[in-house]
Amino acid sequence: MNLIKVNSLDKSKTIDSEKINESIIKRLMIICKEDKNSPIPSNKYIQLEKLQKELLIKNQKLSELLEKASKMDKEITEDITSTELRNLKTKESLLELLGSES
Amino acid sequence: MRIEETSIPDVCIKNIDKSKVDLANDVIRVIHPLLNKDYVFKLKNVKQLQKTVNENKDLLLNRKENIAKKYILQKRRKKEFILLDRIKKLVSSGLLSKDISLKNEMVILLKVVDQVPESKIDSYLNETLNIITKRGIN
Repeated sequence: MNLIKVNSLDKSKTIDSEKINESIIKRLMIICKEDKNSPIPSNKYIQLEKLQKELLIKNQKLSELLEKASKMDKEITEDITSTELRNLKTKESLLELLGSES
Repeated sequence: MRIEETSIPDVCIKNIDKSKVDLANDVIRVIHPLLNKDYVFKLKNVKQLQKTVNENKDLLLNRKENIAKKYILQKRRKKEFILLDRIKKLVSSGLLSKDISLKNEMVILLKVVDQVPESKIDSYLNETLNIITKRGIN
């Protein structure tokens, strides 16, 4: 069985503050022990920096793609509008021609 | 003495001061960089960046779907354009003046050309192309 004995030698402290101290120390110890085999915090920082760089590159690529998509969208929309306009004019002139023929 | 059951190994009671110092060092080593302002700022920045990336991904997907829909419409309008051009050729050749039923059919088609199903447009495209080829209309 694992035991923890914390701060019990300091008799000058009140029970409440002692409780708080125990709780804090216990939690910190758990964090330290849990982290013993995992990458050290400096590595976490490096990992975070790496992630930030990756996200920046990803975002840059996405921005470029969005720009391309906007350009393509604009071109297609313009083409549709101009074709619709031409078709309408052709349709009207043809209907006029066929109407006058009858 | 207060004893609590935990998963942590015993602190050496004979040298509790040293244990405290060791613990403090561990705490500083492990915790301090996490609480570091720069780290917190970076973490916040990364979270924001991740949010932006996700938003841009959604936006791009939306644009892609929109472009795909417009592309279909563009293809359809191009087909209508070609069909109208062929009808124009038929009218110019004077063929429709001779063939009244074809003329009536074309008048009806002209009125609803942008509403008929695409399969119908394809069928008219084939039909008009056949007539133009057969009659040698340029």
